[in-house]
Amino acid sequence: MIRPIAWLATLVASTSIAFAQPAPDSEPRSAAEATDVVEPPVEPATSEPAAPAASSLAPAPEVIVTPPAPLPLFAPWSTARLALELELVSHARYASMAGSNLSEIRLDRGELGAQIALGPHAAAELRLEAIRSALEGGALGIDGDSMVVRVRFANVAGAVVMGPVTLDGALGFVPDPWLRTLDDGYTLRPLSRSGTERLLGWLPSDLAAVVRASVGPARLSISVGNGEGQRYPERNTGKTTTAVAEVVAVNQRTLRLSFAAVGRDGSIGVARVRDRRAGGGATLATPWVQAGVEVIKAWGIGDRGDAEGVELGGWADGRIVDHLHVAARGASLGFTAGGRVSTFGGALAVEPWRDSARGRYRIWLAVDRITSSGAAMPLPGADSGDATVAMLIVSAVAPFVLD
Amino acid sequence: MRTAVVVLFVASCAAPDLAGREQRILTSLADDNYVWAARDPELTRLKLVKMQRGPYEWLRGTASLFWRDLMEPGADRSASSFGDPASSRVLLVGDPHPENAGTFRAADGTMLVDWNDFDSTGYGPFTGDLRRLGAGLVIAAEDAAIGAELVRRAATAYAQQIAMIAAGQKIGPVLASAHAFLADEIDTASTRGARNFALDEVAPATAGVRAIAFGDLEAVAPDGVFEDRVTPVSPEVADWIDRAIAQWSGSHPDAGAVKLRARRVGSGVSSYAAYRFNVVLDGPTSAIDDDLVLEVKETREGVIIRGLPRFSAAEWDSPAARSVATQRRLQARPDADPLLGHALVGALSLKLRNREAFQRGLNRDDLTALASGTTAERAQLGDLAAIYGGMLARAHGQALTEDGVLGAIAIAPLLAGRDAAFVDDLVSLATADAAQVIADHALMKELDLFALVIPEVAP
Repeated sequence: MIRPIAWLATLVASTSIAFAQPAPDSEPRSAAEATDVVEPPVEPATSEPAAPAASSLAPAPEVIVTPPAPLPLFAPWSTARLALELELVSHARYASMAGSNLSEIRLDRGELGAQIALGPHAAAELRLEAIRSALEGGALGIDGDSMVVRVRFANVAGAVVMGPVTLDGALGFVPDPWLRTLDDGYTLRPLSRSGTERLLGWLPSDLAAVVRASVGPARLSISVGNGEGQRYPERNTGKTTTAVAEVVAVNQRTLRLSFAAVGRDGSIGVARVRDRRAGGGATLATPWVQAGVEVIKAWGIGDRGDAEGVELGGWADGRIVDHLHVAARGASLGFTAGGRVSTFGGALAVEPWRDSARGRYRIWLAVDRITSSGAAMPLPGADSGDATVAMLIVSAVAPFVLD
Repeated sequence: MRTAVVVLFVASCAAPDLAGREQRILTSLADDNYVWAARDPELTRLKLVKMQRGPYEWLRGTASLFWRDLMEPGADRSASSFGDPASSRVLLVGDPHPENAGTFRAADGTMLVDWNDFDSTGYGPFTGDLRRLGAGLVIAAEDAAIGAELVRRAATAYAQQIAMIAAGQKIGPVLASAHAFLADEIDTASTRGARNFALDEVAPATAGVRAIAFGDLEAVAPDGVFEDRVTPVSPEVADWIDRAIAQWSGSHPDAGAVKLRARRVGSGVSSYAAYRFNVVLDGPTSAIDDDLVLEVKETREGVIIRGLPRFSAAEWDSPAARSVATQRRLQARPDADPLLGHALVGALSLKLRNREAFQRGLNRDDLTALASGTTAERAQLGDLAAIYGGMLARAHGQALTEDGVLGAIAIAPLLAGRDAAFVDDLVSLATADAAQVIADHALMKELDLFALVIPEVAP
């Protein structure tokens, strides 16, 4: 009985801090994005007043230099009355593999999020996503295998500022704090989910309470939830706790460098399969290049409590000339007992239009390679499921904010 | 704040106190039975009780776990050394244990024996099906040495028939002449079917009028499991059935109107909690002797190999459409059940088949009896194992793979010149699989499985 009581106590204790939440998706996902750090730096010469001519007899006018506003370290709390965001990723794919090759057009991701302010310190957020109704490869769907819409995030959030400390948090279907940290500034989601999400099956949201406290360049996030994600209600009495610590080491207009560490302890399913994680990552953003790395040690993977492994991932997105990007990413999960799954890919992308307030879209020509070995093969000893997928991708993010 | 964090961590400490294998079994059972448990917890509980009766029942109830073990990292079962990508896309029976074969009466009246359960069909590695058959033979024999010999016979026959099909030979159905035991089964099925045994059991006639015989056709077992219970259906369910029959009758225009409907509980192990209805239809004339009895059964997803690149959707419109299409492809005669069909009512995928006694499943008790019998009877059992192996080879070899080639073309190159090694591999793997099933059953047979698997709806 200790655990339920403790959990109840946690809920009661958290009511005073529950109305807190990361900035909604309609807001910039990172401070880097908030400051448009991905834009090329403005030439200083054009923004400075011209120096007075040496031969001028008139006194030189007094130049008043206004210091630039300090860059926010983390995405600020949104005070918009209504913030909407539409995010779409469509793929035309050709998979080259053993046996018959596949070609298909699919809607890889379709999300619509809305956040409505409830006064200056609280907000309600709902984000929906479109998914296929049948199991991957299955036939039991809704009206055939139609696209259906399900809840991705649904929570009441809030924030308070107490001197140097900013507290925010949320209760409901909340984003996982680690994936949120990784995805902050991760520009290659149209190519692939992060390695943590794709290979370790880390769930993007959960029925949970999340609290975040930031002081200066540091922020600590703690989430306590069911651990079952979107597929199931709670199925055991234990709760899953995730803690993420972030530090912004450099925060300039031309360089932002942040580090993060994560720890998780919890269980999944009726058999209380362990879901224990420890790891970290780093993200770099400059006007021309953005990049990130991650490493996670996992104890318990999928429905196997005894499985252990280490996942490594990295990505880079560079703007080689205006509107033209080149990107590369990779992730690999090695199992302690043997076997490895790896995915690597890259892309050339054109970004014909981008407006930090109104959205952006990109057209990608991408390739993704997946390989596996040993016991990590889909069919150990028979089929590694190796495939190379060429993709034409169109991705768009369209925010709408009503103040 | 620090106190709150400590409280949070205390609340979250859910250190697993179950062993790894126990966790894996419970997780698999929870996933498999989630929908049924939410809909009908009592029947799901009885299913789990039925599974606990013995290793063979456990084998029947855990096909999903078996396939998970073969496919997933950290598998509890060893991989076969006979496999490659092409032979991993063979059309599988999915659950070819010895009781999933039985008699059929084809459209032209030919009586034959073939696989009769296609709930779990899908594309996958041919060795998985063979291992499942082998494990079933070992457990049915209740003797490891005899079991190993049965696997050897089945694997040898399998390899031989694959080679024959790859060489262009067409393998026909298993007929009464194949084996004395099967001849007896066919004779019983034929005789009973001809005199409407199943129809009269479900809906006996009194004064020229048929009525459903509700109640327990077999006594409830001491462990509380319904063995064969027939119950009325609600008006809503009756409407489902009528809609299913209406869809089915599009391809069976000679069938008459629905006369009677009932739900039947007790059959199967894996699908024990599934909807299973008996429906009596008017025959071609107004006489009651030519009425038809159909089974309308809920069908779920079959074998799906995760992690392989594929289209996001299956090639079939529904699980029952898959089951029916693959039955026709995997059986020696696509018309083995002339009444076969499928329907989709809302999200309920239903398979329809002839319920008359022409279709009669083989019983593993008979195999166990042969295994413990005389030398001659054990030899008969060996011959029967070879027929099982050949029947599986014919199913795999003559059906098209996911890549659109004959299964035998994909499998034969792996076995060519390595027949003996292949048989040894199969014997080793299937006997280990059987040992795993027996160990799993021993681990779980005393537990209150329902409370562990579906705690939130436990009574």
